[in-house]
Amino acid sequence: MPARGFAALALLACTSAGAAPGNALERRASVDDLLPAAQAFDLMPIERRGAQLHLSWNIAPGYYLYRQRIRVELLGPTAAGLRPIRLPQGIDHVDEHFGAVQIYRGLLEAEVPLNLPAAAAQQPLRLRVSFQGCADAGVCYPPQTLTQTLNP
Amino acid sequence: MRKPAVFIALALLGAAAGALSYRHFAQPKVERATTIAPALSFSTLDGKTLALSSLRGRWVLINFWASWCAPCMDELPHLVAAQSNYGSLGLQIIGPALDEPAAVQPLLRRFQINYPVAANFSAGDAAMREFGNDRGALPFSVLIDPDGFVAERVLGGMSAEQLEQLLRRHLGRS
Repeated sequence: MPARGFAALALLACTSAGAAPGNALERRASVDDLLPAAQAFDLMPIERRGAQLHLSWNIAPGYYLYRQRIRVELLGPTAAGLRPIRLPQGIDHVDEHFGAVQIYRGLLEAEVPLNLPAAAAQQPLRLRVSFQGCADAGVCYPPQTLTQTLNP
Repeated sequence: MRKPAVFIALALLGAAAGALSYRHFAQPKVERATTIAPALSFSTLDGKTLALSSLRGRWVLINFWASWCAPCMDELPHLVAAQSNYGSLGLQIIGPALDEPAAVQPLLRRFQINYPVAANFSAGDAAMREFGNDRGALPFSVLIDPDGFVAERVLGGMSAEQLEQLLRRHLGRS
């Protein structure tokens, strides 16, 4: 796909007679300016620290994650075995559509206490992590879902 | 005595340039399109299949969106107004959502969406990539001309004024 169409963003701003100064179209990102979701919301390898899991994300500058959209599930060896995720206090953010929410920027670290049955304690854990976020440029990324396997 | 004459001449020149530039910018500026839109079809929530090829002869604005995307929902009222105002000029908006039907249905009523909407994450994502958005970021709109060529692509939400400018430039005044 040639860049001609995206150049139209600038055209849209430049040819808009009477456009207000600081027109949002002039500030908006093109696809090429946006990071892929995996770089914008970089989930580090999950660590098992004693009786809990440690998760961390490096969130790129200009991007944020929604607290309410972070999930961690255990896929195996058993579906039960995780307590609720412990997330730090986020940044308050009021959204017209979603109400009062919290978001995270920068480094996000979270813990998930384990509650594994004895038979599963020494087995690899298969985890599914999902999260969703947006860019300050005014676009949002689809929910991201990743699976990781942790050896005991 | 010569200075006033020079000023008057410069003022007349400036006025002429301004008038010419006004004529240039005030007219709808239609890009010469070179990229033909992919042959896509959408399964809409009313159970129909809507092929882009069936809309030749009309301007088509495809707006990719989702219920989890706040800037997408900010844009919905403007799209509803645009469909009302520009439908008679040949505009047909289509709203493929990267979402579940159950999440989208309540929004159809809330925003009184007056154009066909599809709700299939993987199909919407694939269609968006066909138009060059390989980041999957929303909202994303593609304007297709009556000959089936991509006229413009817009990443991010448009205000009412920005959408009006886009449509007025291509379709004329509503």
